[in-house]
Amino acid sequence: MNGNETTDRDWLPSVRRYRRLFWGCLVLGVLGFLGGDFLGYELVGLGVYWAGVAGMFLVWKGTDLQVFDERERELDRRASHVTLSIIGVVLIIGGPGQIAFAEVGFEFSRLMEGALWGYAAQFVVFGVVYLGIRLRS
Amino acid sequence: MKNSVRERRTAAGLSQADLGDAVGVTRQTVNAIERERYDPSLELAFELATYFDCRIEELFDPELDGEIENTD
Repeated sequence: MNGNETTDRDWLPSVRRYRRLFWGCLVLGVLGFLGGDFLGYELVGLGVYWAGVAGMFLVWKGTDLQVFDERERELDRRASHVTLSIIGVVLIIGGPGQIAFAEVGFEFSRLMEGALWGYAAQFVVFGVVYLGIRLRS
Repeated sequence: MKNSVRERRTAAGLSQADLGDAVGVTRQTVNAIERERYDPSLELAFELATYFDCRIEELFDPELDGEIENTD
């Protein structure tokens, strides 16, 4: 562990730099997209957005440094878990609920149906990723 | 989890950012540990104990007394 001390001392300034770059790319991309849309240059805005997002992923995955520390990763895991739980409840109730609502004359809009299908697809992706991680661990 | 990180850090004259920099986490993470809102990983607990030159159980108290009494 003592061998890591020199690396640890260098950790935070580098991480701060990477974080600024990470969020900077994202903000730049979003602002570029909104600006392009506002000024009528949608395609240019979209290009800036994609460049920003690509830059964000390059910064995130292009370094061996942990850009986010263990507590931040734990917060991320917990937030993801709560989000999936909420979506799960909506899907479990909303999916079969369509039939009951239809019986009383309320048809789900295409947007609501699309959202439910999107939620279902998210759980399929989750299942595949979970299985992959489980097989590799 | 109860711990003496704050006491040891202030005794060493360090800021939360200094300690975070030394063990490879952010100031916010050190603050969360001191306020007992976040339990560090075993690896980070060892880093902190090594930094303060003490044993993990001297730095962290798992507060098991009540649970042990209840199980008897």
